[in-house]
Amino acid sequence: MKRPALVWCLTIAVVIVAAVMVLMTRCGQPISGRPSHEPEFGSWYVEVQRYNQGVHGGMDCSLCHTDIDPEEHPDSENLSESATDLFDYEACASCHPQEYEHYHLGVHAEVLSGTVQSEIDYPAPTCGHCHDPHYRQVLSRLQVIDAQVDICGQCHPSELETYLENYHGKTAVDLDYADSASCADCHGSHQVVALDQPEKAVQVCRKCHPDATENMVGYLIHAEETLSPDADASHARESVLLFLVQLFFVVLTVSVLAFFYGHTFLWLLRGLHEKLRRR
Amino acid sequence: MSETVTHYWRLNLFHRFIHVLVMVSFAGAALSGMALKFTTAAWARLAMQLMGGVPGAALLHRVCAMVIAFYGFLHFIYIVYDIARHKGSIFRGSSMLPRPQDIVDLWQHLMYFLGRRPRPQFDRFTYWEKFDYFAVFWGVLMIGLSGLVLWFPEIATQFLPGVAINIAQIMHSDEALLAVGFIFVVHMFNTHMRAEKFPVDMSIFTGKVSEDELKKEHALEWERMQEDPALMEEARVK
Amino acid sequence: MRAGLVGLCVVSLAVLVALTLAPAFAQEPEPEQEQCWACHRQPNLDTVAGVQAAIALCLDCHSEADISKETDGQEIPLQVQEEAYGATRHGHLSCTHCHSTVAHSPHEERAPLACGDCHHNLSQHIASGDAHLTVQCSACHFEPDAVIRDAETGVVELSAFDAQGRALDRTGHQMTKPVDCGRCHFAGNDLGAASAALPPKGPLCFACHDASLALYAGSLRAPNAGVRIDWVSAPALVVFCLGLVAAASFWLKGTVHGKADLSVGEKLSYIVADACGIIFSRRLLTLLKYFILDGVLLRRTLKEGVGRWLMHGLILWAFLGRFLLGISTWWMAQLWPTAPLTQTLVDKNAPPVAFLYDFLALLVIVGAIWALMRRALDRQMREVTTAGDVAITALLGGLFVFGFVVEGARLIVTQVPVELAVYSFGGYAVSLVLRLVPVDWASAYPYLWWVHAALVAAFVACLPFSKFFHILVGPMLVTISGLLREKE
Repeated sequence: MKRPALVWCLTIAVVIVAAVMVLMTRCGQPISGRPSHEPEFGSWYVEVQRYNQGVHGGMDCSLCHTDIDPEEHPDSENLSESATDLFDYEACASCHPQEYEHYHLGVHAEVLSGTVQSEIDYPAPTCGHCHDPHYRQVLSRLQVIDAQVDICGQCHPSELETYLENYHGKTAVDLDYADSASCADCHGSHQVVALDQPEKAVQVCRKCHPDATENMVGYLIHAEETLSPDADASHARESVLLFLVQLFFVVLTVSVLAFFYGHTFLWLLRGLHEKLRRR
Repeated sequence: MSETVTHYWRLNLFHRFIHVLVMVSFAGAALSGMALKFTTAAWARLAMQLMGGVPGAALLHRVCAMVIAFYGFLHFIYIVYDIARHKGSIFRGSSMLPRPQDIVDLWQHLMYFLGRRPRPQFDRFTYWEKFDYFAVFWGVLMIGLSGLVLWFPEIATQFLPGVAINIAQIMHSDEALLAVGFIFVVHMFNTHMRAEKFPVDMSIFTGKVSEDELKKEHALEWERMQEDPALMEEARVK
Repeated sequence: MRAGLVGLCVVSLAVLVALTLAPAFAQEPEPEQEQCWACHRQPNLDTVAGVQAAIALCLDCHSEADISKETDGQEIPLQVQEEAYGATRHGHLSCTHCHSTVAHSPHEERAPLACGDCHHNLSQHIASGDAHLTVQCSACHFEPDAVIRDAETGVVELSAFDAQGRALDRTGHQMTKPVDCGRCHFAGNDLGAASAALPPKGPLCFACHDASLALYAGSLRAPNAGVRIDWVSAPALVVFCLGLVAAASFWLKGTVHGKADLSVGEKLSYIVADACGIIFSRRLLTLLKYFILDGVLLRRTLKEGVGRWLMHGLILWAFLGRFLLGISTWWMAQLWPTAPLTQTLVDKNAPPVAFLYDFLALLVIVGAIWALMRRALDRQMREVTTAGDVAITALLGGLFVFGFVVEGARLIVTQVPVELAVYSFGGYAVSLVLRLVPVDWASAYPYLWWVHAALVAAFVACLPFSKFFHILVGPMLVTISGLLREKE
């Protein structure tokens, strides 16, 4: 009698621990936090040694910082501008013409030139938003994925959130599965595309899913379950539909479990009560 | 166990075999699935590593899925055989189909927990056993069908819109959470943790129940057996 | 042939010369490049030279007399006097030690002053209460004293303007000493600070809150002006102790070891000796077993009935939960004041803490209502029920309900954002109702606080003289009787 009691106590302890662990995932931050990607390139200070070890090391500052007039510097007029706004990225083009050309085919360049209006209250990214010009970075694919999550997520937070809830994001970011797709795998890196045209999107899907059908494009990687349609205007109907489906299953799960947990608990109590009575 | 106690068959070899398949495949599918559902938690990452990372867990999950499909198919054949054997009388008293009396039983049982009524008398299958069975039935269908969509999205989207994959994800993961929360707490406690069964009820593995247990737990079934000696003879363990 | 040889010699000589001179040329700093590095080289802030270089870069602009920035149409002076700064307490530090994010483009403060980088031990701040977790260090420690609450983040920080809306000059880097709590805690403040001097929660509060052991409080206006007795907790504790003594003296009238004609001292020594005999023996395990099974898990109550057990459990375990939560918060704050878990525990608005406190309080209220209903509806129970039993049970439920009122007022007064406030679901629901009442909750809050404290004090004072004495004695009695049965 003693030993099975011990076994059951352990079992109950395991169930409780498991329940607490599951609950912990829902309230609070992810347990292992990624390092925050605080951009160093806004800093006024440059570490000489690290700079000289990088790919651009040894190059004159003026080779890239072409528009700084030593007489006028520092210029209090542009103190409030960010480092990426201050810098003239034409300077990159002289050595990296191909990347520069690709960039100009993408949607970020269209926002920069003003041909496309963006709802995001943030200047269009250029080279420096992703690439650190001063220091060399050797990153593994997983680190690149993490960097994308941090950098792209700064301006696209809701897309980041939905990506992390999607299987692609869960496996790539949380489970360190390098074969999963990240932001740039679908949307491109230099030539960034929005993928709102199905014929373009299906090509992207086929990079990993060769048999992807036209319909498969309708699958929302960045799915939102919401009743407020303006959150994602292009998929408003789907968002409401997904919200209702989600609501149905949450109500079903909670009500079934709540009823039967209570039922079982009362039953246990009744059993113990009778056992105590018999003594 | 003393020799004088008479035992009766409650589960045949096929029932027990299917139950072992259900147990093993459910445990494997639940572990690999929950580790993917809760990826932000440390335990989920550890479990994933132990299963061989994402590819290993995916393989385990799919092997378990195939076992589930296999027992689902076997069970379907068995139902057809069983109905044929009983010549269509599936609404007999010892049937597993739900009936109004089950609601009454549930209410009376709850009142008994609170000490307001004597314990109700049950037939061959009690209301919670029926619920367990149909929960698995519903769960396998819902989780299985949505799982197929997730496994073969290229084929599924040939006749379904893309958003069906999103719906399948919600269905699959929420239903699975319900199943895990139900099986590991309600089903386990109801069968093994009750004061009279504690610490373990072995009948799912042996297939037999003692006469005392049958009288107490399934009184109506026992009465029917008393009236029909052939039934009694068929059920008794020789 | 010879020409070739000469050529070879010339070439090798040239190469040799080039190789000898090359490092010299390469290391020859280009004047323009060096000009950049003069300012933009990352300084080593661990050295005096690095600190001086960093200060020099800032003062390049910030020493000019006309330097200022425009905020809300007002010029805010930004000129720093080098000597005056050097004479302050922090004068030996580089500007970027504290203004850690400011040497960036765009040139702005992205984070509060980095005080915690050096001042690691902030335990006294946590001990002074979670209300200050959202107050920046500078809001209390810097001159001049104008303070605002940021509408978006809820953080209390220094304001750029004084009460008349004039721009303030903070370039003197002067610190406030001693700290004046009255900067925020005055009647009619719009920061949500309590205007009355609420004492720290005393030992009475330990049953349900993170509290302090002090039975007295310094005045908020002048913290060093002596102590005041907490006139609510202290008398209640005195009455409570008198009640215990009365009960104990009644028990001591009985026989000990079958002997009745012993003095109180002798009886006490027998009891202490017996207690030691149990505690320092294997019977301690038996004692623990009965304490846990009968005292905490209420085995005997379950034997009497499932409903009865549930009612008792609701009140007992909710109380135990609140007590464990409070005591572990207090303990953690003593041992690991800066640990993230401590920071979460002391923060009343942290979602898990807010939810748990409200949930457990709700359980007590449900338990109290259930107890009252049983006594009202059950015929047998009605016969043994006295007016005193009903009163003390209602007092218990009532003081918890009133706790929700205080919580609701606190949520309004401290302007907790809705997405945080909803986790204190009970308090939030009450706050919605309170908002409808045209009362200045900021000035009412201290009175509500004191009423709640007074209800608790009344409950504690009545405890030894009422039905509820069994909360204290019950676990002890069932443990002892278990031990006695075991002995037989």
